Amino acid sequence: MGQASLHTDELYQGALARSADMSGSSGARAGFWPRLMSHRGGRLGLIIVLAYVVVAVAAPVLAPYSPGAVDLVRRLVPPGLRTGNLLGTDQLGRDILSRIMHGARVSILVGLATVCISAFVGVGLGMVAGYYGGVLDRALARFTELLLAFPYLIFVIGAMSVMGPGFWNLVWALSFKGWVEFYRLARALVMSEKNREYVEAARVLGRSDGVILTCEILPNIVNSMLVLGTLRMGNMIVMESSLSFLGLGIPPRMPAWGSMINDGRRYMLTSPWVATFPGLALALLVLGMNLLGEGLRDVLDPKMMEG
Amino acid sequence: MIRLGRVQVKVIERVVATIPLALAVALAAFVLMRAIPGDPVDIMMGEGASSSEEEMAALRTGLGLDQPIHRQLVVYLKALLRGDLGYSIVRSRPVAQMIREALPATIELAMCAMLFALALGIPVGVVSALKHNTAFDRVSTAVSFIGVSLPAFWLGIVGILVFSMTFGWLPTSGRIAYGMEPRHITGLLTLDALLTGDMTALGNALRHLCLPAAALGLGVAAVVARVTRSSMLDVLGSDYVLFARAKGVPEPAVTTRHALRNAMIPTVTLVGLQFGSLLGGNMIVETIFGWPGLGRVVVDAIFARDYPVVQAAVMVYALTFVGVNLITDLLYTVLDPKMALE
Repeated sequence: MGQASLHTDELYQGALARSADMSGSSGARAGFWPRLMSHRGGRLGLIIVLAYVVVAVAAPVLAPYSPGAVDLVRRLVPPGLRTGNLLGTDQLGRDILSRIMHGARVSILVGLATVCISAFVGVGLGMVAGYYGGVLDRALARFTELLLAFPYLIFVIGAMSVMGPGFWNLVWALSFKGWVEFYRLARALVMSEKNREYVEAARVLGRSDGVILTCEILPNIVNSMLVLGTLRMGNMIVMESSLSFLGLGIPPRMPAWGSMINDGRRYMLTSPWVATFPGLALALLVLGMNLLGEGLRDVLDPKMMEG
Repeated sequence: MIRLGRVQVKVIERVVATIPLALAVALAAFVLMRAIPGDPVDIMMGEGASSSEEEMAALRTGLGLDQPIHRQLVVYLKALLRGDLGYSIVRSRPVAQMIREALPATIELAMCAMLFALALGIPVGVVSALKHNTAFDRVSTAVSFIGVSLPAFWLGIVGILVFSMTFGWLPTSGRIAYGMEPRHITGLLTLDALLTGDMTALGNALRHLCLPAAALGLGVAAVVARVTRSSMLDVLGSDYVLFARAKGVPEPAVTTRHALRNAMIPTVTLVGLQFGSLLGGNMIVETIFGWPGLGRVVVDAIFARDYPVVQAAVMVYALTFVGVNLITDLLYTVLDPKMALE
């Protein structure tokens, strides 16, 4: 569950190294797609993630059954083409493939919403703290220290028991601590960017701090944020599944991979497909996110590409 | 002497800095728990229970829950400063005793998961770096990528299916078979079994540890392998390794004495970070494997609104986390003496 710490750490080093020898994102952006497509991992990751997005968007059309359609006569039907249920059915006779497809909507939406909120708050606060320093910076440093001392999962479990299961409750609970990583990276990057010539030049030209932050510095750190966001999304999706697994995430009426895995636990010996397929779906999506994130980092970071 | 002094000063500074942090964590845990709707009495009595309002009010008075919130906070903080963690409302036992029982289980599991991760990750990372761009390197990189992406709780379930249910090789839950517990010394069953020379208990405890430790440790192993590989590659390309080779130092010595020691610095940082998250993030694996650790205690306590237990457990988690970070920093200075001077 602390898997992302590696990514962040590597990313942090890479981003700082890059910001030291590059003074604009235009160079990196030229030929972005061809380079991402020629990056083996990045390409594979992109294909996997895009496939999930297509399935998630088109789930109501693509799914052979309604995800909630109970059919007690056809309980725990094994997977197969002839049975009509490609991935089998669960303990209530619901089609697992259809539920996985609809579950993808939930997972991707939770991941996307959490990362967007976290990035918005984290980058905003990080840029201000890094640019101005002072009391705000010190106060935020203490606050983030406190947040980091709380184990993430306990924090989210506690918050979810305050708010109860629900899609937006889960997104807020995850975001409440999720912004810290964006904050730390944005702050560090802004601190190293703010003394560079182009920022000095903008200041001499009489640009306001707001314009400098949003129009000058932000474009130079947005790539790193994009990479961090992609990598964090995989993590958030695992967290969502973990909480749904505990019964604290998505409400039971919505199909979520974590709760499907939990349902399948009891039938592991007789009907292993109930828990296995949602787990595989989850693992493949996270793999795709990680591959895409690493690919983006290599492409947006020419220095590391040579190595 | 001077350098040692500086390290000591650093340690003292860091330890002192944890005091306000610990207080803030205690406060945050208190607030978070009071914000959860429903109090322990509601949960204990259950919905639609026959107990009368008077009985419930008497129980609340007995537990101090009828006091205003600021009064409860003062009572809680005073007790905390005395080192008194209070009584579990639901289990009527001292919280300190519950934590003393559960914490060793969590530490033992996290340590075994970490040992598993290091034993697998470091050799794979080193060999990948030495055989850079060969088939082994590519396969291990791909496998570690997959390893990072597999959620631990799903790995645990699949592990139970394959190794416990299908082959029957390993137990599905618990720390040790009933009645086989070694004499209590440290609370870490494997260590206690070793200290008392009880080899049957040791074997049994290890068999119980295999699956949960592997489920938790596999992702970490993948991360360790990747970090070790990349830092080893960096170090192998450095001037001092070139110099050692030019001096005629035999290759195995170059690899182990010159390269590996320096390549371990990022790995040590990583181990610290990951150990903290292994301690704090394994409640799901504990739940799956029926592991009687702190994670399960705290999850149960949150569901039961057992305030004192949650507050104390969160404190223990936070302090452990801060402590692990401190130890990591210190190890860092041992491995890289330059750090101590900065």
